[in-house]
Order: sequence, then structure tokens, then C-alpha cells
Amino acid sequence: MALSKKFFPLEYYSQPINEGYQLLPIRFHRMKKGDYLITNMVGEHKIVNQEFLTRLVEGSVSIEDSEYNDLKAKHILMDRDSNVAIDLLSLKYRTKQYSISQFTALHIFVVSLRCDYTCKYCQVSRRMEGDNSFDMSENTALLALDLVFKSPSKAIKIEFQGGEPLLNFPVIKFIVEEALKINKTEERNLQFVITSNLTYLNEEVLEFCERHHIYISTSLDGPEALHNKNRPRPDKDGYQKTVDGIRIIQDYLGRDRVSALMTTTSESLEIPREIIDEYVRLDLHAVFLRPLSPYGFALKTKQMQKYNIDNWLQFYKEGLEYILDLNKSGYFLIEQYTLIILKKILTPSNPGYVDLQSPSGAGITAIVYNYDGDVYASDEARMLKEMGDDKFRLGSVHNNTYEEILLSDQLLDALEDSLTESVPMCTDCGLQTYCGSDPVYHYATQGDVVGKKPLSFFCKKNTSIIEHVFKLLEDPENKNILEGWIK
Amino acid sequence: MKNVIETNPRSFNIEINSSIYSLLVCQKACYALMNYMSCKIDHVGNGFLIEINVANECDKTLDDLKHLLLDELLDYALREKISEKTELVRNLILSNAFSNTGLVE
Amino acid sequence: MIKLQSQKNIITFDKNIVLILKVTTTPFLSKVLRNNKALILDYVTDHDIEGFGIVFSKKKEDSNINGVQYLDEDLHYLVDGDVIRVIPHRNSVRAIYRIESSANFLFVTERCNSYCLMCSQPPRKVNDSHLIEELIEAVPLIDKGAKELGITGGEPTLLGERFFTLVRVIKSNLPNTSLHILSNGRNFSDPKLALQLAKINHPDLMLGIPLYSDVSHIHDFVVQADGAFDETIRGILNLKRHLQKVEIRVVIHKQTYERLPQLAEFIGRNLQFIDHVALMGLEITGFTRANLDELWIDPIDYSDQLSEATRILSRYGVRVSIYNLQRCLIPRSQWKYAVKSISDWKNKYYEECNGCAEKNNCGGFFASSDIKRSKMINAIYEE
Repeated sequence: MALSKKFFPLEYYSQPINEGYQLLPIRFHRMKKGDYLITNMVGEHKIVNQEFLTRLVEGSVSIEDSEYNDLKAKHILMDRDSNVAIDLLSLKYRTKQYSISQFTALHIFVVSLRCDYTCKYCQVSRRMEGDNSFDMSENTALLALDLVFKSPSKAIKIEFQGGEPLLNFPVIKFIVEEALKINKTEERNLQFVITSNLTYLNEEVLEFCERHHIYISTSLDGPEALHNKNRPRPDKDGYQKTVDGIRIIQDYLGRDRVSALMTTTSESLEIPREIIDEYVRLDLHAVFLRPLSPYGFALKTKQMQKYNIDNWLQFYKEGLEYILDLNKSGYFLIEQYTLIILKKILTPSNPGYVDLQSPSGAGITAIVYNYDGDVYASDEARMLKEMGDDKFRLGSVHNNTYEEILLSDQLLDALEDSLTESVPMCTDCGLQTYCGSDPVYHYATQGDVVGKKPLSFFCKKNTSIIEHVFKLLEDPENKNILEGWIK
Repeated sequence: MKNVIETNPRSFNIEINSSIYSLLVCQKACYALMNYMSCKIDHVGNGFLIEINVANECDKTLDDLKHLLLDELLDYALREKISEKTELVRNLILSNAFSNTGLVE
Repeated sequence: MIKLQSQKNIITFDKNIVLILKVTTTPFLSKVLRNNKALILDYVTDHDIEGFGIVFSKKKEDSNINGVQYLDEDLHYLVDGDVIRVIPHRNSVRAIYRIESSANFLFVTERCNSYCLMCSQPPRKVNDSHLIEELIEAVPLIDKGAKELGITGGEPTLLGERFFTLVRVIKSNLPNTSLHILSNGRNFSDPKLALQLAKINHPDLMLGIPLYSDVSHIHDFVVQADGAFDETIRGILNLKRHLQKVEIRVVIHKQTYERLPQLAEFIGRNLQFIDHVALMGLEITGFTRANLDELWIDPIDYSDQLSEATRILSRYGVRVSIYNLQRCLIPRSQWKYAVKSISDWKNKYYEECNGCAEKNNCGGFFASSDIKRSKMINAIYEE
């Protein structure tokens, strides 16, 4: 080293490293190729081979190893030269958990069970149009709004669902106006979304959405034949109505004010590209490739038997590949679930997606107020009740206080018992920081809120998707595109 | 549904030296593979005997399954070691994380 | 290039004192306002010049006239509002504050608890506590409209209580001035110090703290101080706990360029709340000259690492700027981060720069680049 006389070389400062290192809390996951993904407490990661992992755990890795500095910087190990890793890991861990303290931010109002569609996979029992005993009353709405603002969250999103919520548009208006009134003193960041099939979209609705900056979410399952097969309407024109509706909203309210998602059925699995093309044709820039959920009519109509998780994964990977190609050709298009996973892998914060966090977001991140005032931990919990099981019914706006609902044993036990940090397999899983628990799903499919993860579609789905994302990130061009989704 | 013709349900046994793999490690390894097999663990001599009964729908060969189980045993043994070596520092980090006031976000 | 100090003045009174004075060119200033002023005349006239702290003429002959001193021509650029320090028995005049400069730094000490390989202000173990006392005296003379002021050294926090006093005095006298303090942050690992700074409640204060690696042993090597990395990080965390604005500064050279992207990743993951990151070109001065072989790398050769680092920081939403690098030496994609940053008293251009379309946007070079600079300097032509 040709440093001037008064200066010490690098070896002088790295000398304490030779005395050995302390392994920091890590988990690992065996990847397909025999490599191991190491993750620390906050999702920082490094991929190494089996031989290296064994040496790392034994304590025989040294500064001679090219991976050493990365492992030190990523807080996978800590040596005698520095212990600020403890302060930083504590801070990072706290940051990741922070969103939980914000508590319930998503409040779903099921304003009507009436609907003009008869979707194959519908999670709502269908009631005929015109029979408004399945509509939410203003009284119930007010009681529910009371509970909404008891949540400490600074950001509150009120989402209208159904059936078809626009069939009870008067109550939507009522809720929005009352909420804004209350918010004058509450001063939360308030957002509204209406999920709708767009049949009943009219001038009045559009004006109202414009005035109060309301977002609209709809379902677009794919090309006309598929969409109409999945989502039948009496006039068999669901697809056209949806497409027209999307265009109207884009023109009237703005391009960013409408989004769509799709639900996969066995018929969808063959045509991921055609489905995505529908989104591109409508100038939509986000797709959500959702799997089939095991509730409600999906179960009754034997949808679940018709496709297994491997077929869906194939569909997802093909769809994602096509989406990446479109991005490479200059069309910005994200896949929503992939984005959630990416945020968990590549950022220090928590994307706060209800169905993929631990503790589960049921109740504490999102909550559902049914038309009759019953309160559920999630939309799926509501479905379970429709199927005869009220395990996750937390109470009623008519009879229970906020504390009774959110501190109910029903809810807290389910959340606590299903924490990934402590249940079999999840507790050891290298993908834990990227995953979450879904007690309602596991209860519905296996009979208990934890579930046996080797038999769980939820587990297999997330494992495969996360592994796939890591594989994609190895390619620089894909990495660039995927990182661009995050900003 | 596959048409599987077998005269006997498939099964095999593995003997484990308990000084190399603890009972918990064996249990965890078996649990992880319950999609393919059901296992019964018994004490025997210096360790354990794992009786594996392969699930009917499983289309993997016995060799594949043996390798899978050995891989899982190795992985869980490694995890056990990591747990031992990092328990103290993990508790320190967690208690630090939640006793600290100040830095939010 | 401007010289801030000269000892070639002719000052005839020999008192062993130090004068802190504000420059004026107005001889008919009311007498009550004169005693903390330095009058600088182009030449002596009939005016009554009694009562000024000192009177200078730019004409050497005038120094024979009673009460008039001669100001060395190197300092003839001084204008109304500048603040100077005069040490008569050394014929010394130094500009402490220049109203026309965009970057005024108050130099508080030569002492430092680090010993960076590339230090542009090599530390000396001296008792120079008079410097901060002079500055505390000078602050009230600084123009109230000053936009920005800096504090630098050595390591300012080594001055303990007097450092905090200086900050307080600056806050009281210059409430509309942004204050930029350059510190290695190590002493702020003591939470009491961070709290003390926060208690002053300066309305617009930012600390510029260097971090040279994502791993402690490399950082400690660059700053030649064992334990510096941990102290610096803890210092940053303490300052942030008290809501102080913190900028991380990284000087890019042969010992820091390789892991620059990894450092960006480390900052994004661990210090995402940092207010700004400054990636800086190397100044060939001070210790850099002594360690040139181990430090010099042509900026062209670290273009990839630089681009990757800014890309990573942007992805994490961290504000980043590039300082002290010329536009012909960084990729075009990085120009949006480049800031014209070299102090006007330090910068120059080379022959290769003639006709360059980007000259106005580019900060030019340090004068010290005469010693060593890139082989790839070239004028950029409009396409």
C-alpha cells in the first residue's frame, strides 16, 4: 500500500474481523436450483449455495469470502468491528411493524346484496333486483360511520361493495356526505371507492364521483366470450357494458379514476395474454391476476375442482411474462400482487396489504359492515357466514361497541393464533417477511385458522410467486422494469 | 385423477441418530412433507425410527421422497443451529425495537 | 480564483489585537456607525476618516498618510458588506464572510477527531479556540439578507459549548439564513449533544455528515479512526430522533467507488429518512496529494457505479446530487443530479473546455486539478 507514512492500511481496520462474527437472526429458503435464499428479520436477502450456508452457520466464513461485505452490510452477520447493526435492525423492524399501529384503514360498506349479474364465482348470495330488504339503511350507515372514525388511522378508505352498490346509490351519497361532515373535525385523509359492474352508471353518479373525487373499481375478466361466460347478465351484455362504462369514466372523471381486476376461472387459464390485451386496449395500467377463492358460489359450482394451483401458477407466470414484454415495448403495466411482493422484498416499509401480513389484516387493517349492520373481519368472513359459519362475525353496529367488536376474542384469538412468526413451518420459513397469514382462508379450507401449510394453496401460491419474482429479479432488464413499478 | 395400480401402499423407514438430528428436527421435517406422506416417529436404540407411508396421490418415486426427507432434515438441523446461535441477539433486537421512542417511519 | 487572505498588506499600528470589522466604502458614514467598520478607499481624499475601526487605501503611496493602511491588491475585490479579520501586527487581512459569494463557510477549528485519507483541510493539534471567538464576534456583522451560511473545520463539535453558542448566535442574528454544518457526526453519538443542538431550534439547519461505506471497516479505514462508523451512524440516528435535517456526503475515490452502489442500497434501507445525499468528486488538496496513488481514479472509470448509486437512491425516494464533477466526465443520464458546486474562489476551466456548450451549467474544476485530472476532459458540442 502506497499510503503516506502517517496512515494505516485497510488491514489494520479490518483486523477485528478475524476474531470471528456473530450470526444475526436469519431464516433461509431452499430455492429450486439448490441455492439458498437467506433473509434477515426485515426482508434483506442474499442468495448463496448450500456449502456457503453451512460454513456461514458454522462460523467459518471470513473476510476472504467475496460475499462477506454484503452479508455484513445486509445485517446477516455482525463482527467485532461494529455493532450498530443492533440499533439499525431494531429501527427497521419497528418501521415494518409501524403500519399495524395505524390500525383499520380500509372500511368496506356492503350497501346492497341486490345485483343484476349472476357471476359463477360470486361470493354473495344473489337477491333479485327490486327487493330492497337487502339494502343498507341510513340508520345502519350512520352507526357504522361512527365506528369508522373510532379507528385511529390517519388515512381512511371507505369502499362500497355489494351485490351491486349502485343499486343503493342514495345511501352511498348519504354515507359520503355524512363522512365528509364528520371529517371536518376529524381531519383524516379520506378516500372513497365504489366497486361496481357499471350497469347503473349514470350522469348523476358520475357528477357525484367527480365532486367528491371518488374512485371506481370494476371487474374485467377478459375478452367478451370469457367475461360474459363468467359474469352472466340477463341481457348477456356484461362485457360491452363494462367496457363502455370504463371508457365513460376515463373520459368524464379521468384516466386514473377507474381500475379493473379480474377473477380467474378454469376457462381463463388458457388465455392469459388475451385477458391482458383487454386491459391494454382500454388504456388501463394495472392488472390483478387473482386466483379463485374458495368461498360462496365458487364452491357450490365446483369451480375449485376444475383447476388446481399448478395450473393457476402457470397462468400467472405466463401472464406476468407477457406483462413484462409489454413494459419492454414501452407500455407501462403493473401486476398488483407482484407489486405487493416487490415492495416487501425491495423496500423497508410495509405495503399494508390485508391478506398478506402478519398479524393478518382481518379486522385490524380492513373491516366489513354488512347491509344489516353485522360487522365482519373481512369480505371472506362475510362469505363464510353466508355459507352458514359465523366464526368471523365480530358483532353488529346495532348492538356492540367499537371495543366489543375489535377486542372480541373471536378476532384477537384468530389473529394471535395464526401469526406466521409462531406457527409450524411459517416460523422457520425463509420467506416469512414477504408473506402473511390468512386465518379466514385456512379456516374455510382446512377447518382451523392456522392450517397445515404443506396442504395450503395459500402457502403454495405465495411460495411459488415469491420464488418466481426472485428469479425474474436475476435478469437485469426485468429487474429494471420491476423496480420501476415501485416508484 | 391418475390410475395408480399398486398392490401395497408404498412405504419406507429411516433410522435417525438422535445425536445428529433432534426429535424436533425430525418432526419438522416430516411435517413439511405431509403433502406427500404421513409419518410415525418412534424411539429406537440411539435415536428414532421414522415410518413413512406415501400418500396415494403422490407420484414421486421412493428415491425422490427419501432425498426430499433428507434435505428437510438437514435444513431443519441447520435452522436449529441458527436459532441457538441467534436467540440472544434476536431478543435484544426485539426489545430494543419496542422500547425505543423517537424514530417513526 | 480568489484569495481569501493576505499578509502583504501594510498596517502601521502594531497593537497585538484582532479586529473583526465589516467593510464599507462610504467615508461619510455617520460617526456612530464607524467603530466596527473597515473603510476601504480607492484612494485617500479630504474626508474626515476618524472613528473607523481601520481605514485602507488601495494605493500603496497612501499608506504614508496618517491613519491610512494599504490593502494588498489580492484583496481589492472586497465590497460593502464583507466581513474581515485584521491582525495588524502580522499585516494580515482575511475575508471571513463575502456578501457576493454563494458559499460562505465559517472555519471554526483545525482540530479533528478523524484523519481522512483525502482530507482537504488536514487536521492540526493546535489550540485555535480564538477562531470561534472571533466568529462569534463576526456573526452580528454579517448581512441580515444572507441566504446561506456554513460552519466547517476540522470538526466543529470539538469546540463543545462554544460550538452551540455559535449556532445560537447565528440563529439570533441571522434568523433568515440557512445554516449548513459540516461535521463527521461522531460526537452526536452522545444523545445529550443531539438534544442540545435540537434545543437551539434553528429554523433552517442541516448537518452534512460523511459516510464512505456500507461496512464499518472500510469507512473507518477511509477516515482513519476505529469505531467512527458506529459513532457516525448513531450520531445520525440521534440527530434524526430530534428532527434535525441530515445530509450524507460521500467523496468518491479509489477506496470508495467500488461499493458505491452498495452504500446507496445501505442508505436506502437503513437511513431512508435522510434529507439528501451528496456524491462528490475528489479535490486534489491536503492529504489527497500525499495519498494520490491510493485515491486517484479517473471519474470516467466509475461512471457505472455512480449511475447505479443514483438509480438506487432515487428508487428509495432519497434526494441525491452530484457535486464537483464535470459534465464531460459523467454520463448524460446523471446531468440532472449535477450541481454547480465548486466555490467561486476555488474554480477554473481548462483549454479543453473552450467552446463547450455546457460550460455555463458545469461547475468547472478545482484549481488543484492542475496536479491531477481526467484524461477525458473534452468540450461538449451541441448536437
